[in-house]
Amino acid sequence: MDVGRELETPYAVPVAHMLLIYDRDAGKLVRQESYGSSDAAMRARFAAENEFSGHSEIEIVALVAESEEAARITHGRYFLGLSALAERMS
Amino acid sequence: MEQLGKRLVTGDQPDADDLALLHQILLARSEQLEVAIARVRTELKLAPTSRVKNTGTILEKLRRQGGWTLASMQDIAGMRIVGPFDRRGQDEIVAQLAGLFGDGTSAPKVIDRREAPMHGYRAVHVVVFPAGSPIEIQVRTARQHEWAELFEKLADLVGRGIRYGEPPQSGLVEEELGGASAAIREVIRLRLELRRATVAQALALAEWLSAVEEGESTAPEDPELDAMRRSIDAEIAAFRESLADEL
Repeated sequence: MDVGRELETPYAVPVAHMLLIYDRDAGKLVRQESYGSSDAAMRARFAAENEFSGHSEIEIVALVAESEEAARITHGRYFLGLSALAERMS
Repeated sequence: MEQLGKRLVTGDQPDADDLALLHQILLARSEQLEVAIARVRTELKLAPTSRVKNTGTILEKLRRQGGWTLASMQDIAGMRIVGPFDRRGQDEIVAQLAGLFGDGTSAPKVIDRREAPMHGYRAVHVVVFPAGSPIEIQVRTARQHEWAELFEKLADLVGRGIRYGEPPQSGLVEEELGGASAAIREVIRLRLELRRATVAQALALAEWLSAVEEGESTAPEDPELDAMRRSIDAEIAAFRESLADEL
């Protein structure tokens, strides 16, 4: 996996740079990758968009979060099914 | 930017050079977003998650709007803040964000989707302009967020159009049905009914959640609130139980 070139990060705490490839029709994540910088994740995103060109059901997203755990909370739709999201409701 | 936006939506596929140019713009937006997130983290001690809109969605939006909105598209770069705060806490965060980015090239713009919900969706969005280009910051209470994620997921399964008030789809087009028997068509009709009922129930849930949130913020001592919370818990439980494995 390409972790990208080293960049000076503006963050004071570690962050997760993730590339998610999500199948909307199936409601499931089909690929998840981690990168060392936003730049590397974005470039991987462009490559994935090219790879899945013509597949409108595929959503490709590069997320930056405090951690994967944080991304699961703020963007749970990519990680959880409908029932699990309903269970999460308070 | 305007010319690029128009060229990108001319023809079936965008020109490779134009696409490369769009990618350069998106990389620059990503860098601006990183700087903005760092400010939010450092100065407000909040932990947003961010993303730059994907190319396909940008092109779809450009096509819908005739290609001229690339420069002004507010949600190309965005971050989301979700927390255990109520509506008053949400207002405070919105004010802090507006203050933090008050030094931008344009004044921050607040879009209150609690006052003007969009098909059940409630949140407050703050659009800031720290380096000339807009960055949309979604501020959601836990209840608003959990509902929004549930509805987005539902939209993935029954048709994205429900987010804009359109009815759910069967997932099949007429040509695929071909010479399907009456029994098969009946199954499809029932599935559509189930989908409509689920969407209606989710939309009703949004109104319940909003009412409870409003009560908690405006009259937190109201003895009726506990009864409202119990009612909403019962509504959520009923919704969970009604969810079919196959929608």
